[in-house]
Amino acid sequence: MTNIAILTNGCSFHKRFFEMEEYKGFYDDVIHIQDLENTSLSKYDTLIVTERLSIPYLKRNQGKFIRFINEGKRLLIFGEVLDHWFPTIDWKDSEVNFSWWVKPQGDLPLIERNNIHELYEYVTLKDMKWHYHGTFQPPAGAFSLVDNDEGRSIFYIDNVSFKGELIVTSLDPIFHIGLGFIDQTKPFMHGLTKWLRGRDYNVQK
Amino acid sequence: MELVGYIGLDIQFARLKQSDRDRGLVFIDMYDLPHTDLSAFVGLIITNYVDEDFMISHRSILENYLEAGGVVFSLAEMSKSYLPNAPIWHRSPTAIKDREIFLTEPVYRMFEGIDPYDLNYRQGVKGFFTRGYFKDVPQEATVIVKDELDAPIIYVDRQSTNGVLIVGAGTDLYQVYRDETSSANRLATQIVETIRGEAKKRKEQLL
Repeated sequence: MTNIAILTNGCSFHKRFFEMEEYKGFYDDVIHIQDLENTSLSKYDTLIVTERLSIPYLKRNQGKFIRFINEGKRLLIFGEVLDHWFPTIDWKDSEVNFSWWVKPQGDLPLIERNNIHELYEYVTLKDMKWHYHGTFQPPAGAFSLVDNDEGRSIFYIDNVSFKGELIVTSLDPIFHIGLGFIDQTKPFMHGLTKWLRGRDYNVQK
Repeated sequence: MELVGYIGLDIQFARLKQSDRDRGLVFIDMYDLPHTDLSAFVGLIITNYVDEDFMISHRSILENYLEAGGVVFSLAEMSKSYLPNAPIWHRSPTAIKDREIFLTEPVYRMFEGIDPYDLNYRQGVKGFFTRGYFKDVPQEATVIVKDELDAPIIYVDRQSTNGVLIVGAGTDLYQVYRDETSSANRLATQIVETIRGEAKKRKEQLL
């Protein structure tokens, strides 16, 4: 059985996300980032780094993240990876296009990559389409699941740089669900939960 | 230049640009608050990117700042209150597409010359201004922005402390509108000027 820990910064939008029953299946335990340094991660096989966490605290725990993934575990990182707080991740800021959907023939060009990956059994490209604040260049051997129209990734998986699995996305669903702004994020979270937990997992909706 | 502290977690969305610094804003990592001499700032803006647990356990810092006559403008969607007499945020029952904000008369200096339409919509998208409201605001407070249900969205409280507390029901109004091409573009500068104006007035009253 997968045991998932998720990080919080104690922000109100995180708290409201954690209060919602329909997302309880996404994680087992919540760890405040100020407590991470002194928290054992040995019982977890997946660690989720939510978007918009304090960069100095992420940097302070960099070694802990590396050790975790090098134990063969899974690290899922959402949001902005500024100041190279995690090695191997190449982040580039993007101008956010938040209004494409209200414009005539508006679109946010995104391209499905490696769609034989299991995640696509649970999530469609449309589910990942609201906006993004930045992109990545996956390292050699890693593979993208979603690219933008410049060929940079907004969601990739790296199974080669560490012993475990690194999942990186610039999508920010937890922030938006906590805010109650952009409902498009919800099917993505349900699908992602199914993928992380396994196909037999019953996501409450 | 009279400086205004801009308090948040050190994340991309709280970091300032040169144009912000030119207006007199100074970024303060919220975890540095216990080590920061806040008397250097005529006012403080609290973003929505704050660790509430930390703010609660360090609430005396802002209380002391206000008691010394400081001005605080909070934009946090508080689920627990850490500001004097300030209520918590509640999600509006109105769908975002039907939500609307109104500036109360006389229009508060911060919003002078700004068309409310430009606050309700950004490039045709609604919901940036606020998704929440306050149920109860302090009795003596002045409500400066309301929603379509007449619920308070932003109020000014000059009674609860020696300082001035301006409290908004969410959204970082400063950052959201600073690069707009509409009349809302004035808001960033007017927020800083309003804080300075309130600080000056309060200082004169306390003399």
